Amino acid sequence: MTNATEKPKASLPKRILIVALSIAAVIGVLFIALIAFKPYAFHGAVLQSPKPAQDFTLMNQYGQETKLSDYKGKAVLLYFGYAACPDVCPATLAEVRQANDILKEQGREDEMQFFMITVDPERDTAERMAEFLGHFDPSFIGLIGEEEEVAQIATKYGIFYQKQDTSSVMGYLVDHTATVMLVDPDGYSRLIFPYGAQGEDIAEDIIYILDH
Amino acid sequence: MSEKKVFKFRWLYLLYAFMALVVISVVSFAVFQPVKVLPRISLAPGYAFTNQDSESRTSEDYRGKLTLYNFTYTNCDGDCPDTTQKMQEIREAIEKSAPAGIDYALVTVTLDPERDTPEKLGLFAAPYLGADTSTVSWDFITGDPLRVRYMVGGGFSLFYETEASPNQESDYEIKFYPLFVLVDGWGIIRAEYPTENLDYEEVINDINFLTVEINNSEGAAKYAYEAAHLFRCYP
Repeated sequence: MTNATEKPKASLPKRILIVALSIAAVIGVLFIALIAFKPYAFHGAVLQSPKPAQDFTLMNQYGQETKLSDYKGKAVLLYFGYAACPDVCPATLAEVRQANDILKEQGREDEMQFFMITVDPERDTAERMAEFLGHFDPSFIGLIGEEEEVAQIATKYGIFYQKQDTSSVMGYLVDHTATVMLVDPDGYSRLIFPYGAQGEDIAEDIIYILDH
Repeated sequence: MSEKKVFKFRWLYLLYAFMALVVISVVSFAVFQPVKVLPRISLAPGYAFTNQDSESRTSEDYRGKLTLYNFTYTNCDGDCPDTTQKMQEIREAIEKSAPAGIDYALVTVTLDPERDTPEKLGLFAAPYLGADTSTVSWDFITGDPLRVRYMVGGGFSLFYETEASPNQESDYEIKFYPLFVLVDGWGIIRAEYPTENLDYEEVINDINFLTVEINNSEGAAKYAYEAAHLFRCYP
C-alpha cells in the first residue's frame, strides 16, 4: 500500500524533460547574466596609474587662477589646443560639446568640466581664448600660461607640440597631439580619447566613471 | 513507519547554483589568472626633438608602435650604465623572436643635450646602426636641455645630475641610474626595467604579452583582457 504523503515517482521521460529544462534554464540565465554583467568596455584607452594626475595652476580666460585639483569630484576632460587651430581643435571641441550636451540632458553638466590648455602661449591671450571657446560652450575653460610652464605640463600629459611656419597670412600653425584626457573625480588620469572620438562615446565613458 | 524524504525541485536552487557559478568563475579568474597583461603604468611624456640625422622626432612618430627607450650620453667615460649595448642585443632579439605584424622602435635619449648635438649622436650611433638593414627603427635623440629634463625627469621619472668630472678631459659627468622603458602604441608606459643587466628574454616576454593583448583588443576577447586589467593579472 502506498503511503499517502509519498508522491508517486515521475515517469522516466518526464524526469528527462525536467533535467533538460533545468539545464536549459541554467544556460539561459547564465547567458542573460553574461550580457547583463559583462565588464564595461571603455571607448577610450584606460590608464591605471597609481599616481594622481599632475596638478597645475594656470590662468583662465576670465583672468582667474585655475587649479586642476580644485575640480576633484568632477570628471575633467583635458585637451591641449590653440585658438587659431584651423581644423583639429574645432572638430574635437564639437565632439566634447556633444558629450557635454548629453550630460546636460541628464542634468549632470555640473559633474563634468572641460579644460583646453593652450599650446600657443605666444598668441593666446585670455580674450582670444574666450572668443574661441565662446563658439562652443560657456562652461568650457581655456587655460593660458608661460611658455615653459605649459611645456612642462604638456610633457607630463604625453602631449607634444611644435610650431610650424607657414606662408599663410594667418601666421604659423602648431602641430600638437590631439588626444583628450579624462581625469576622474578622484584626480587620477583614467582615459585617453583619440582624435576623432565621438561625443556620445565620450559621454558614455564619463557617465560610467561618474557612476562607478 | 519512517517517512521518505522527497527532493523537491525549486527554482531558488537554480538561482543559488547560478550565483555560486558566478562567484566561482570570478574567484577562479582572479586566482588562476588565465589571462595576463602588463600594467598600464602612466602616460609616457610628449616631446619634439631631433635625431642623429638631424630629422625631427616627436612622441607622435612612435604612436602605434611598441617603443623601448634607454638613456645615456656620449661623453660617458665608462663609469656610467652601458645600456646602449643592451639595446642592440634587444634589437636583434626583437628581429629574431618578436611577433610579426607589429611595428617596433628603439629610442636612445641623451642626458647631455648641451654637448650631444645630432652630429655627435650620429657618430655615437654609427657602430650600433652599422649598415642598418634592421626592420626595427632606432633613433638617438637630443633637444632643448630644459625640454629634455621635462621629458626624462618629469615624464620618465629618471633622476640624473651633473657632477664635476675627476677626468680632466671632460668638464663634467652625469650621474644616473640605468633605465629601460617600454611604451605601447597609445603612448602608455607598460614596463620599466631599472637595471643595467636587462635580459632580452624579459623584454621579448613582455612584448609577447602586449602583442597578444593588441591582437585581442577587439570583440568578445577584449572583455577578458579588460577583466585581467581589473584584477591586476600581471606577470
